[in-house]
Amino acid sequence: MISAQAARRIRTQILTLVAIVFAATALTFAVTEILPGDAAVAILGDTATEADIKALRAELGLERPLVVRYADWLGHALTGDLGRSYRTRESIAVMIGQRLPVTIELIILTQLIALALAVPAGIIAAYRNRSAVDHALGSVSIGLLSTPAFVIGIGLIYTLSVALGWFPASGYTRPSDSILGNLHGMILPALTLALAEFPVYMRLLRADMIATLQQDFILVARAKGLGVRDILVGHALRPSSLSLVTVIGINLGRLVGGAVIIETLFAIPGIGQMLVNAVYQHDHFAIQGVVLIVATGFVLINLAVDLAYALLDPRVRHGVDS
Amino acid sequence: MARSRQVSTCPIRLGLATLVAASFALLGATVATQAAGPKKGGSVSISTESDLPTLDPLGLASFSDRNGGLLLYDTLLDIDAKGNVVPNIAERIDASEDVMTFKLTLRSGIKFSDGTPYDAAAVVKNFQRIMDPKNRCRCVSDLATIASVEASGPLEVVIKMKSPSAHFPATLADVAGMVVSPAGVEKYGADFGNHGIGAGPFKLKEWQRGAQIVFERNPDYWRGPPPLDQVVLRPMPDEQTRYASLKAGNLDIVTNAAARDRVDALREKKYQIHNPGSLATVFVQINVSKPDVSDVRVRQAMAFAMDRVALNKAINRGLYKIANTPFGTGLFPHEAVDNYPNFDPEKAKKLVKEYGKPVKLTLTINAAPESTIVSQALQQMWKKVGIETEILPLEQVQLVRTAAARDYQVMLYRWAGGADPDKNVHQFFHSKGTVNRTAMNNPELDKLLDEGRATTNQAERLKIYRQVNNLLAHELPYLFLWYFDNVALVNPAVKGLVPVPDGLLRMGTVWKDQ
Repeated sequence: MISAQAARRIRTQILTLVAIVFAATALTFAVTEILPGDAAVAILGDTATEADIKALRAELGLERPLVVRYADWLGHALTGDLGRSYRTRESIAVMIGQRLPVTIELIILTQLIALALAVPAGIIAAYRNRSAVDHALGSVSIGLLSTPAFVIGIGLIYTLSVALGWFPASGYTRPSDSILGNLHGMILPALTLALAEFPVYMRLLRADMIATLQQDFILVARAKGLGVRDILVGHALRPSSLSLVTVIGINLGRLVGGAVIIETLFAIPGIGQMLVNAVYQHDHFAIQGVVLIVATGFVLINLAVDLAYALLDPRVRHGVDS
Repeated sequence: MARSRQVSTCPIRLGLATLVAASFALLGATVATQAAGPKKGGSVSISTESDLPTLDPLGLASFSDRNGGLLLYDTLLDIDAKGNVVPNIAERIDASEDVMTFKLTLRSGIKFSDGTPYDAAAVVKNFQRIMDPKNRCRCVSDLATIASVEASGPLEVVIKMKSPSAHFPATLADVAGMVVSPAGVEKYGADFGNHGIGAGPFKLKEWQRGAQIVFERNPDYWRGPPPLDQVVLRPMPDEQTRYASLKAGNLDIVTNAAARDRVDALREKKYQIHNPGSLATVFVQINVSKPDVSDVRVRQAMAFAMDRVALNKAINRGLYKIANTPFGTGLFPHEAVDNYPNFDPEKAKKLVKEYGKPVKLTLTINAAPESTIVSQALQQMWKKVGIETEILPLEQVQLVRTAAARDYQVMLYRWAGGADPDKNVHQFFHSKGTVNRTAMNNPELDKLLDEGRATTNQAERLKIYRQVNNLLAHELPYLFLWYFDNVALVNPAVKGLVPVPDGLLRMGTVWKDQ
């Protein structure tokens, strides 16, 4: 049964979702307008005359006031019609449908790799607090944190693919053609993004875990004679992972930003690359479509994070204030 | 081993074995002869800067687009390594004495990849299609002088011009010469751009948007089936990734390679450096209707102040050739100029002094790292002779618009170039040129540019364009920097690439030694 409080929370969340999506798309529309240059020039190229450009602008409806165009777009978007690309005449909804799964796969793989590295590292660093291992992990994470993702990417390409030949340097294989081929190509970009996430996750888990390990119930567990592994993984990990879960949620949004760079670097056909091309080509509807999807996804993920708290922390589940 | 034992016991099997052995020997011989010539099979992947917008020639414009177009359509005429227009699908083109009429003669028996005939009717239909303003062909500026196109026989097309058009044949070696299958256009309608039916060496197998376009051999290609099974175009926006992918063996050809990667490839000696030359130049373009730069002395001072050799060394590792004409290595008036102003800061200072007023420039550039470095270097060089420069970076699309609207004073620009000299000058410098961005209005230049179109005699045209070059070197609407070569870095297993100065890759005869 949903309590009145929970129902109210969900209602607020849905209103927030609508408000955020509205604000994000309106803002993007306005910003795209401020961008110098326009779609007509992008389409016609550099031997076009002023008259050609004017005529095409009129045909594309670019001469109408901004508010009218936004209202028009919004009206269509509400009925599920995201328009067509100025450049390729493809349906934006189809374009996003093809590219979104690629980005989602990239982000999931990234999170998996980042967690697979960060959780054991965080636990060890907390358990061996201030030891040489802890310091070493700390230095590595500071190093990774201060290196931009594209530099990590180029570094990995030159080591793991050019020098060692373990992974392809770029490109994408559809899972329907070969699941292994798909993973083989996605690991390097996912690892690149994961190495940027790793330090954040690791440091966060380490800090929370150190605090947890000083709690009474851990003492009890020790007194009962439980092994180190049981105490760390069985008792300490869950209460220590609250901040981690929040940050994973927030980071999903950030990762879309990372995907813009990494998909361009590794030539992967996700929505990040689509967005970059759309901006270069002044392809307004494509930009709007991607922003709409990303904004919606971001809000939904935050909602999911809220719900995940309840699973992790009994105090949230039972509506008790701490 | 087991077989040889059986052979010795059974005469019939012995005969069979001899036959098998003989046929193996024969096969060996074929393999041996093939080793000398093209091997059949294999796939070659080529990087592009971005995905193609469409496969319909109407929308093909960029270097990558045109490479894709050549795979699917081939062209009516072609250009050779020296930049001469040569027969291709059309076996000849004849110009009338007054260069007002052209007659194209097509090869017989050529078919589009959908099996329909490539004949005069198809060519006429194609001209109607690309000339229709509604279709908005990116190639339309190339067709401005056409008055009418008619079939005069099953394989003959007569094209009449509004004014003498010696530059016209070269146009047919590019997008305007990529003829689409009329049946294909009818069948797919507005969706034709997703299919692209032509008579090129390859046909579309699959297009994974944003990831790759796979082309497969067209077995009915008029020059004979291409050796390669497949050609794959891969959009790779990042320059570093392209070269890294070649090094990692995930890519066979990097087009438009950066100077940095060329230097690395030279050092590594592992890759073929395919340099077919160039058609045009990188330059500083001047709007001669704007203050200060409207005075020719100021433009000359700017030219004398530019140490282009040092600049080329710093920016391009000295790999490019310094330009003094608007004509790349693949065009016959290349460097046919008597004295273009070379670096001479004293002369520059004198001219600025003569001009008398302080000179203030606004140099508009494309907001890319390389342009920024070049513009800062120019700023310094001009400052040394007393010219102040402010740099205004714009995004590429906006830069193009600003140039078209002549809403600039000085601009760093480049032009990829056409296969006829006319395409690098007439539209830009003629007072009635469709894209006269420099506001040039010089009757002598107009006359020369028109004369250049009025004869097909190359010796005579060379004389004319030498005068054009000399006039440009004096008037200086462009301050030339360098010719940009269309260099590709190529996997050594790829054989048979023909260097053509437009830099486009003719893949129909290319093969892979694997």
